[in-house]
Amino acid sequence: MSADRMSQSAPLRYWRVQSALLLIGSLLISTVAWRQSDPSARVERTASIPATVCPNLGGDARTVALLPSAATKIKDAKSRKINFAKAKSNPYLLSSGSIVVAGSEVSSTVIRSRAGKYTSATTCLIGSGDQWFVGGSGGLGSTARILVINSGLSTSTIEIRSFGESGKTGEKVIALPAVSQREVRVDSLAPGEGVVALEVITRSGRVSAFLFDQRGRGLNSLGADFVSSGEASQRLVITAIPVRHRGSAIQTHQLHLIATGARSAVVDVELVSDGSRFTPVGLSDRTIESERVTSLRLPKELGKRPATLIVTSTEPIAGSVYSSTGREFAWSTPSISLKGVGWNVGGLEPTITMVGKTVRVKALVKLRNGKTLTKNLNGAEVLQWKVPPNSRLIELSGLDSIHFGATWSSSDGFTSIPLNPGTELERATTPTFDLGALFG
Amino acid sequence: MIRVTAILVSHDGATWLPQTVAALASQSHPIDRIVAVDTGSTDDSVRLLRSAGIHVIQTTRGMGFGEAVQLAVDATPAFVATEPKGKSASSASQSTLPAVQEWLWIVHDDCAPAKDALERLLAGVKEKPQVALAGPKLRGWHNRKHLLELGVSIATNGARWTGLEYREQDQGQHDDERDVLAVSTAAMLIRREVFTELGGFDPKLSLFRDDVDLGWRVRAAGHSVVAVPEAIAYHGEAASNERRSIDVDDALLHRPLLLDRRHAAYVLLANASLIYLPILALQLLLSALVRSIGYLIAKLPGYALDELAAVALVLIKPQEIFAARKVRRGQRLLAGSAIRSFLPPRGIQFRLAFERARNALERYLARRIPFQILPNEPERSVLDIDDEKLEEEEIFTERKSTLRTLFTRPLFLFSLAVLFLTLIASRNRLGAIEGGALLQSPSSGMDLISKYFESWHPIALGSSANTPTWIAVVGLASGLLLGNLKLMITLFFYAAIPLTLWIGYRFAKGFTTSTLIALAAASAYAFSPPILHAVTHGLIGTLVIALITPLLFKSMMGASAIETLSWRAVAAHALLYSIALAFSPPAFIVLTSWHFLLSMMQTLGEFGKRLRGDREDLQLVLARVVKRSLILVGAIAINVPWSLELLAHPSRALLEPGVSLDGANGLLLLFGNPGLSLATLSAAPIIMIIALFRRDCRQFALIALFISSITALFSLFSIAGHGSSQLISPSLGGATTLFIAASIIAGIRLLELVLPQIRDSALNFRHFAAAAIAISVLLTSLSSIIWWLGPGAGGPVKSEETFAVPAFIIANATTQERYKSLLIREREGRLLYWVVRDKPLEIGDSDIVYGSSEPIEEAVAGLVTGAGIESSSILGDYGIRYLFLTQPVNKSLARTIDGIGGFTRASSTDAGVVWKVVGASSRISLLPDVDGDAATELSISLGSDEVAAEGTITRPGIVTIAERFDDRWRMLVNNNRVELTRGVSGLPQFEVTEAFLVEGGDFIIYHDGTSRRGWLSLQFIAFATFAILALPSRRRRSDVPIEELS
Repeated sequence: MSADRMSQSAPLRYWRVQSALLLIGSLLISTVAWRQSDPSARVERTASIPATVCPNLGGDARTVALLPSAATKIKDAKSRKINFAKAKSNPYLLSSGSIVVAGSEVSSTVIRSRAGKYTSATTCLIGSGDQWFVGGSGGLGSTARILVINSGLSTSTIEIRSFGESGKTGEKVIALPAVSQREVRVDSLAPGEGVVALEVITRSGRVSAFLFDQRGRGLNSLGADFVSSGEASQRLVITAIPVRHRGSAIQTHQLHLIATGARSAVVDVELVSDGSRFTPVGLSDRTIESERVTSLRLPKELGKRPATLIVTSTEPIAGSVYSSTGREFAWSTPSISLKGVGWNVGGLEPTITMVGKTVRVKALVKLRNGKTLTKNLNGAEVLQWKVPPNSRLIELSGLDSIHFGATWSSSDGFTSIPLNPGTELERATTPTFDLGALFG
Repeated sequence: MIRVTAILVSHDGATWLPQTVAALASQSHPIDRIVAVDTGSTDDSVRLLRSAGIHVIQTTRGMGFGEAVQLAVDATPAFVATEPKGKSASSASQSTLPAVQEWLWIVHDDCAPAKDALERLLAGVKEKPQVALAGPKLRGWHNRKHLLELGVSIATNGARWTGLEYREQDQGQHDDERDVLAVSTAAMLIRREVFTELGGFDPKLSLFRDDVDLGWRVRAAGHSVVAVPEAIAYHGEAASNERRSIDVDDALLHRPLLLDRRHAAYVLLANASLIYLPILALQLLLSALVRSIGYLIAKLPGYALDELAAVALVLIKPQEIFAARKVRRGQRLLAGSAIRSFLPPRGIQFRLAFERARNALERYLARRIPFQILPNEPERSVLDIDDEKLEEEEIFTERKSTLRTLFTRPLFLFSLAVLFLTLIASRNRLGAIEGGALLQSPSSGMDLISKYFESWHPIALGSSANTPTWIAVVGLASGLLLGNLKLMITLFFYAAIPLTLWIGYRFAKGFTTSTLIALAAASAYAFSPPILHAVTHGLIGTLVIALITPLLFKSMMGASAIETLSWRAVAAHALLYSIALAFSPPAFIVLTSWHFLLSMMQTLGEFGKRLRGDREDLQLVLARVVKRSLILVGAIAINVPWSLELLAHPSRALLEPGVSLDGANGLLLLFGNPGLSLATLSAAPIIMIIALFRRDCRQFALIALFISSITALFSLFSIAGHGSSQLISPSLGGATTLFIAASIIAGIRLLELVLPQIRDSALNFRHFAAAAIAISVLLTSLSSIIWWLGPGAGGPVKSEETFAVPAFIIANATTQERYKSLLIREREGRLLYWVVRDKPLEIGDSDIVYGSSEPIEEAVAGLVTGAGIESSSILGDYGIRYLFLTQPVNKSLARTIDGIGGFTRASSTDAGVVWKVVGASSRISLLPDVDGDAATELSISLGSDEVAAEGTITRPGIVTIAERFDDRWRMLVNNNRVELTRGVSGLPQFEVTEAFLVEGGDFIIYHDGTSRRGWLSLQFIAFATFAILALPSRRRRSDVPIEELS
């Protein structure tokens, strides 16, 4: 190749290379832009935790709320004002009425107790539209009552249906004014019924319902407890059934079930007690009739550690376990499976029962002195863990979904609560301000 | 007996006098005597005249033409009848002597009569005793076929009226002898006794219009005035063409136009009937005003001042008019109506003015070669077919009828086909159209213009955003159809494809002589994805850009030599870019980026000369920077204040007019098909890639590559659209039309270069390249047309109302409380909401609203999740009284709203579910203050209009406007201004204390639009400045080559 030709071809090659480089650059930009331009990625979602309601039934019992923190914002459930204020103390003593607690990832708990007589607990919650309560009584000596609280700014309509051992016993529709609460005696709904099931349906409004069962004979207290609500399901896991109180075994345990649908259900009951899992005699293939409360007696001795009951059914059912010493009783209700849970124990030392296929849970404990403890909890199907003394807040996070429940016993009495969130993180597509809304 | 005295008036006429004198000397009819009057010439005029043996009377320079003529008349006694030589005086009595008819032949020093001019003039008046005044046909001095005058009159606006067209050539078309009002003094023949009887020329008319005045007076005195077309004189019009100074004493500032206009007004007012004087005065004033505006636009401010000053000088001296009228009254024999027929009717005046304007425009356009960019236009088609020539031949040789000829022209046939296809594709758009990006059109364009001037827009939560310029442009454009905006929008969308096809064809013809290639290129352009998408989706901005893309592309091509642009061209570029900015800010950014890139490269290149030991040309660098800056800053200035808003919120600069549509991704527009998918690739990128590696057309491909890169870069962003907080892709239709145009031109050049090479060569890569281009263009165009006729016709733009809000929701907002409604609709898994007022949204409304307010966003989000127990309160504060969830109702959401509190279910119909918001405030409300605790009472509603409110308040308290906060809200109570504060939920509030109510409680609430008006004034000034600079400037007559004038 002559020098002349070389001098001509060099710039020729150069501009072609230049063109190629520019083209590649442009294609790169286009490719990146194409990957960025997925419209579905632009759908924004909003998440918020609705405010919950902590009930206060008044009377001579002491009611405290275990809030996520003293900085948690609260307001009087009867106030029309929309502004919340910091609680400033935790536990927070409910002196006047029920309160509304601003949404938080950690649920709040209400503990109602009377010195030496009883202790009871329930999770502060916001109603989900259909709440099932299996528990309480319309019989003699029972002052069980259902508390319905409308924390919204408009009148709500609530329908309460009651079921007894013989079937449906009553139905009541209540129009509840804005920011008000009302107690309805169970014996007015199911007079004479020993064991009842209640379904509270919120037709409209922001309603939370709580069932408080209290029994006595004359002036003697036979104990009291909240009956936590739940949703009907084909699998119930009642995680924390108290088995001992003041060093003695609790002798009476009764399982109450109701098939919530139109068809009867066939159930199998398994009991997990002190690490062993078995089906008590007579609790296999039991038919639970539709809309009738069926009571099934459980073995007297359920072991030394809180027991767990797993009920599987062919139809949706609701249920709970009634445990009684004769002087105090507790209602254990099903818990739902969660990846994690946070709870302000407020100095209590409950025993947490965790139920899953395998239990691998990391426990984070914040003590009252500001220190933090962490502990890995591993077990097979059921694992019990007693919360260390002076704990303020516990956070349990599992690899898999776990059912959490807690029970504890004090000088006042014993109780059990499922560690269900009082409300769920509400996720929805973020509403978009868009004039496309105007066009059909 | 006929005697002729020629009077030649000279004034610095040495240039023309030799010919004039020679012409006079060689007349076929002898002139009995010639007298010259020289008004103080400083050149050789006097010497020339004397050397020709002409008696010269010399006067001062300040003497007027009429006075000079009069001097000559006075100096030459009238001819009297005398005995022929040889006869004794007694042989014939005095009474038998033949009567002497003496004619004065007044001649300008710049007028050369033809050899037989006098003879023919005299023949024209022979045996016509009624004719007292005659004039020849005046032709140009230089262009001797140029017909200047054949009699003259005056229009009612003072214009000199010849009835001839601009630069009309004499072909004998006016060669019939005619009665006229007057003839020019250039070669005027007048009976001496009539001249004397009328007192000659009016001494007030020293120069100009003295001829019209004299003719008028001659006519009024009962004589006739004729123009004799057989007689010809060649006139230089030196004075009116500003070829010599105007030295007459009464010529203020010695300005010919001023003198001409002043005398024109004088002539009209002195001679017209008394009853017409007021209307004539008004007409003179108005026409002077219009003409002065015209001169201003033509950048001749001196002439503009002349026009106004001339009329003013006449009108401020009415005594002169009345004195002149008195003189004329004494000479008048005929009524004014006898003269009226010689004045041009108004209709003809308008028609001729229009035709002159049209001709001027045509002349201007003819000087410009449209879209011609290449230095050497291809002389011959690469297909070896000179289509133009063929067409010409068909027209002129085969003598087919016009219709048959038309049907043999490919462009015509193709246009017909496209029009037919347009009708098919528009089958769902017969009537007023809306949908897609296009909102409902108001019935009148004035509504858009009003919107443009408003400072507050009562749309959704209210907006004080600056209305984009395009809204005013569209509003003004509707004036073409008498303000019928609906019709204009519909026609625009109908015509969009045929128009872009035609423009694309004209554009392509600048690069090829082949009609076939140009047609293929035009169809590839007109049926390109961005343009078809714009037509079917109502993207007005993209379509406007598509129409001006050839000009924009031309400017991109010429940007590298921007220093060669004239300042007028710079101003025109600024105007062009301002349109691009108004209708497609992304396209404007592409143009700006291109200039920036070139500027960088050129500046670096200039300074790079130092490395080679040369000196940089700083002046060149500066010139480029200044001109580029002027173009870009000018475009921004013409769009203020809206353009400043774009600078403050750059993401808005990635949007085009109308409702922002998601899915119109820039990459799909660049590379996809009109259905906005990549099922078939667009031809444009294929062409671009091939052309990129061909040196001769690389420049076009590089521009295309640059545009596509910038467009792709824009596609990286997700921005909130117009009237939406939803993140979407930028609107890049306008920018992509630039890319398409660049690619198509690259393709044309490629074909022009490659086809001759491949014709005679063996199969090689060039064959494949040409085939790839041809196939891709064919496939793209075909698939696009099929899409356009099929799915495209069912696109969102339709002639049916898309607004789907029940009437009762609208009616709710028409009360004096002006309540709003919140409308929620679920669509494609998304929840959309909008705040509805008293009317459907109209075109332009979407571009004024940017997002919701934070409190409302939170309230609505809380509403949906059920967590918002404050939602009703916030919505109520904003004056939202109803919450409307449309069908299909999301039951879960309805239950959530039912449960959230603060909302009372009002109805549930087929349209949806309605809740009433508890405690909603009216648009303007007063929360009375009782002992300092305002919260103890409910607010009181105060009525309001759409924006402002007035009334009376009797109690102190806090007045809240349920509108988005803006610091231009004002409240006056008894003319005292109340301080504006930001209240609950960010609403504007005014605290009215007792002190304000001492003298009563009359209040006014309004949105202060002063700053908006100020900005608009600036915008107008910027636009007017650039428009005037860009318009072709008219030359002073003194600057026009004399060959063009006479």
